[in-house]
Amino acid sequence: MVGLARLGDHDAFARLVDRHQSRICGLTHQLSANAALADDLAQQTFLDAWRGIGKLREPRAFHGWLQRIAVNLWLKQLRNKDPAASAVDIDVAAAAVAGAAVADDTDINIDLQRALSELTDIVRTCVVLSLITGLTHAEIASLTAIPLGTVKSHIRRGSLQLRTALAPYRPEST
Amino acid sequence: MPTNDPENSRLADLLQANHPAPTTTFSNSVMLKVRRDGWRRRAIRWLPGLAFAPWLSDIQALAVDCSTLLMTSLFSASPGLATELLAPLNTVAGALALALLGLRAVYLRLLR
Repeated sequence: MVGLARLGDHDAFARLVDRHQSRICGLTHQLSANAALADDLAQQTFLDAWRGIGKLREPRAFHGWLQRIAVNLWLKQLRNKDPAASAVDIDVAAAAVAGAAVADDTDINIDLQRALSELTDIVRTCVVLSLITGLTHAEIASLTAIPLGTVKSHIRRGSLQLRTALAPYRPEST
Repeated sequence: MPTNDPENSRLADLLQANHPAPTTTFSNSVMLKVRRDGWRRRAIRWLPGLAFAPWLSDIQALAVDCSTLLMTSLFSASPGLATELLAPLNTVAGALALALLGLRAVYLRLLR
């Protein structure tokens, strides 16, 4: 599929979008905590992927490559200090309900999105990059241009805040 | 995941399993942008001549000058009559220049 898309096949690329859209939209949503911005970032991610797919050497790395594009777009947004990027989306929980098809449990989805939206942009970014994309702390520090110690502290603090918010959903609590 | 902490592992699982789904029109919007981008790139490749402004702004004047010369020399028309006869031609040249300027504006917008 990636091979066909590299040759300019729109249908093949459309199938790639269908296959990866859920995880990429999820990632941009969790990074930005802003439904409208997340949608824009995800669309731009796929558009950039279409423009640059000829440069992708390893088709099996397609998803990781998409993730990197999304993360870079988000970091660029953060650096540009676009007010839309720092505005916490108060409708994020409502958006989570509207799009709850991915989740089995709507309550946890709402609480998770709310907890994420309560973190600051940079703390949320560090936590999501660490937990979702699997980047090491050093890689996050390099990507975000934040000192390693600060990255670790952000991740520790953010994770703790999320765990506290989601405590009711711990297996032993339910 | 770069952590062996079971609490963080669980948190990562939660994050990966619980997120809003894309809107139903997401895929269509992306493909619309992809196709539009294709047209944009083709237009940029095919219409480079429109980036050159000077010849565009001179078109109307050139057309009128040439046709005035043609009318006065071939039909020995007086300058006043030539101007009258050339009025429709002037309009056509104006419309042509306007259309080209419009195309140029589209092209410059595509370059952004």
